[in-house]
Amino acid sequence: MTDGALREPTFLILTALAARPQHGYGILLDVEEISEGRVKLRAGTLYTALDRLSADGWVAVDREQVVDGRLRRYYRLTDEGAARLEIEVQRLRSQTRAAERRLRLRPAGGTA
Amino acid sequence: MSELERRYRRLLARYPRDHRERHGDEMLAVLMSAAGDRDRPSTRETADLMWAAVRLHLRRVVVADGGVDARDVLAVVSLLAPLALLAGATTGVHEIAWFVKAGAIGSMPWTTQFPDAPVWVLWGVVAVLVLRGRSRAAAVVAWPAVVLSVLVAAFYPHQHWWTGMDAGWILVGLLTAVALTWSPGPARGRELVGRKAVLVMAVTVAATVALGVLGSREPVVEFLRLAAVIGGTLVACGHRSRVGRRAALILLLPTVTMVLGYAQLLVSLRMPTSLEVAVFYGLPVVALLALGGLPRRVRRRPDRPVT
Repeated sequence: MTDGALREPTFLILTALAARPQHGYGILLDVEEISEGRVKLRAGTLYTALDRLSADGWVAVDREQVVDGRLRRYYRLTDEGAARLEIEVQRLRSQTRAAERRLRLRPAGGTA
Repeated sequence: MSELERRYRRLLARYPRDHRERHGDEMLAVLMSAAGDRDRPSTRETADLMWAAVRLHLRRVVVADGGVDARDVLAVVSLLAPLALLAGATTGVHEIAWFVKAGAIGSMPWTTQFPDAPVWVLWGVVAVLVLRGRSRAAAVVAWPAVVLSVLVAAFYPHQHWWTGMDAGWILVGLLTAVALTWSPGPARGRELVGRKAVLVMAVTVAATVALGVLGSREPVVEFLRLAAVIGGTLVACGHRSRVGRRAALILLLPTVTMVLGYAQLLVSLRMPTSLEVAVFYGLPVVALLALGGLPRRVRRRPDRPVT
């Protein structure tokens, strides 16, 4: 496992699944909420990502339900996926701290 | 069924079958939930679904095929290829048979009639070692066999009619050495394809060598030989499993190059040696990659885009 940056959609999908298993439509809504409306995933993109994340062992099917005659499949974050998300969170935190430190060092009024 | 659902179903029909079977109903449910009061998919949604379908098809063709582990493919290759390779000695065995029939085996010029004999002796040793469960020793012998086969092809380029005759065997030889050295090995291969596979492959090789020796250059016999190789290899590797089909693709590389060679003869196409080498060595490798014969496990680097 390497520590390179995750792309935003991947980060958001893993984050959406971090607290509890969710079905596809739930993930779409949650990603929009987490990103404060900035990222609106579509079904094609979501399921292409889930296909890869499942193959990587980062997400797995939790359970299935039939609601109003339609299949609803819930996905959960695996331990491997949670570990990868944690690495990403640490990486972002470290970069954010560095950015904050440097901004504090910035002379008032900016540079010439 | 509403018009919207019918349109979504038509778009989802573009997806790879296995993905459709696994996620089709689920995706339809998500699409219908997200549709609101629309009566047809939006342009963006249509583009997103089509692009995703293209990506999933590409992923299955050139990157991976959902669940195929390259190490398993190579494990099957490490078990069966040392046997399959022995069919490459057919031309030499045919020469020996001819001189025996003529009562002149003692005066047979080995360096011109059967210059690659040491190569096939080495592969014979590799096959015996694999069958006796000594895969490490087999790997040690396989590499000199590969080097020697390249040297023979380079210094005796006219032992065969065309480069293709050597290319397929050299490529399979190389992949066999790789498989014996770095894959989980013949024991894992036996777990995947069963003990019978070895017997089927041995019978296939014996049949193809016999046909090649007894009926060389007879079109019907050549066709039978081709059919025996393809059929026997697919049965031995397990044509119903994805791992088996990919292993068979590798083992059938000499057949691919042979067909290419026949096609070249048929159209009387003369090519410079460098181009011939590029075609006969390059095309089969491209075909293997395109058809998933050399799959990579879906192990995405985290810094690569998912979507």
